[in-house]
Amino acid sequence: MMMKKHKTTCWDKACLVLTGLLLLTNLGFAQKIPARPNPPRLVNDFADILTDRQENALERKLVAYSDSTSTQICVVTVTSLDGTTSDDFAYQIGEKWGVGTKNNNGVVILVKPKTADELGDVSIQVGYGMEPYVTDAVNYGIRTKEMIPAFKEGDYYKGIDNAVNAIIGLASGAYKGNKYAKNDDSDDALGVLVVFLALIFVMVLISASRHGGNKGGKGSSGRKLGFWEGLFLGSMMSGGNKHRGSSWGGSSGSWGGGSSWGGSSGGFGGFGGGHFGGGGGSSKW
Amino acid sequence: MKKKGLITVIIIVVVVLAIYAWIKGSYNGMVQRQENVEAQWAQVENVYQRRADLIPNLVATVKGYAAHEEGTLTAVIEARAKATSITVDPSELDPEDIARFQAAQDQLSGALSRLLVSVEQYPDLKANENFLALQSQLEGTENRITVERQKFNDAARGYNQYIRMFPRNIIANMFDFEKVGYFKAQAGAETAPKVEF
Repeated sequence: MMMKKHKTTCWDKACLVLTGLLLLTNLGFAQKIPARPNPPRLVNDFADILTDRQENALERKLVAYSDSTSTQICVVTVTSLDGTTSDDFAYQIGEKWGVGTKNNNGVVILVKPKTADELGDVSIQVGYGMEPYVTDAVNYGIRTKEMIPAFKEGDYYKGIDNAVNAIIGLASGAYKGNKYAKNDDSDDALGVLVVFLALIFVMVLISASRHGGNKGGKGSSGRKLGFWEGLFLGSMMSGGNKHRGSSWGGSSGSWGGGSSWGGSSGGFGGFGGGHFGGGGGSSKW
Repeated sequence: MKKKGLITVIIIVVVVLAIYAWIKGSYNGMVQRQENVEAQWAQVENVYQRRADLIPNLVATVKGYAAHEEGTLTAVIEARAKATSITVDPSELDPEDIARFQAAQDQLSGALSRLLVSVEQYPDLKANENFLALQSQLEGTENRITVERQKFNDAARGYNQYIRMFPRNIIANMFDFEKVGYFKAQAGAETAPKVEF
């Protein structure tokens, strides 16, 4: 009994240390770029150049697009690039937030508004999977023809919305969304359930055979089963959480909480761990 | 007496199993990281190739407008020929090979940036749609080169650290896992042809 208790605390400590390490490595990333928004949002107006109404309209449009095509277009506005280029800044956001899904179909639109003594800067970085659809030349066209004319008039919403529409048009049909992938999800859950049931069955068999072989160990083996059952129950629950948090493949499991946000209105489920290779470019005005 | 012998056998078996598990884990970890480094190197070559592929088009476009830039254009063509002739064996990734590869590619970067500076004098060329498209592609490619080089360095660092750590380095030596080279940040190398619009 005492032994068991000791073991669990050791396990707990190991878990704590591990989470601590994970947190530390994550912090290492977040020196320059803003932290991943929680709850996840596709429109992150840190520079506050959009009105709430505009932000929500854009967010709705992008979430709907993400739902139907799985392509995630993330709009970020900042007041400072922290000494790096807008391309690098946007790339880092894309890579570290994990914009896009496993198809690497993410796009980051970064806008640094023009101020009295600094030029405005806009960068559109596309994930690996988007490079064939939003080529560099097209990207340049979007920036110079759709965005900057509007930005020059001070209409940031119009510029960003134009760019979003252009990208939506370019990438339509490129990827299938997970809107109808609900079946796959339940299949997954069923598979997990079957595996757990099988594991429990094996455990019961093992403990039964031990029970037969060692009469003195009756009490202890019974307790062991309880421990394992608890463990399974725990992991089953966490497995369920993971599923609700959409296909978040990254290292941080804390994203599951995002599911509570939005509810039936179809809020954004979270970034999917897409990768970026520096495709795209930036323009100043 | 018999019991003692049995215990010794069990201990030996356990120790052998433990050593086997350790070697297996370390070896597979090295293979995995090595594969990762090689894959990342392929990405680096891809993006450099992408740049090399853009150059003939760029040169042809510039030629039509800027006849007086013969020298700059020739420098670009020559640097391109040199850069594409240097290849690195991806299974070795020898530090010296990588340094030579980088030197040749950096020379091409320099020639390209000189070309892009010199075309500033030709307003007709700068208004040419084809040239603007090429310029934006070049810009995107330079971004990609920066990113893939960075990713390669990260992968290489991870692998190098892994194989050099004691006691894993013993296994690395046994199976000939060798340290791979990095891209070095050179003065001016990071300032790729800057294209301002």
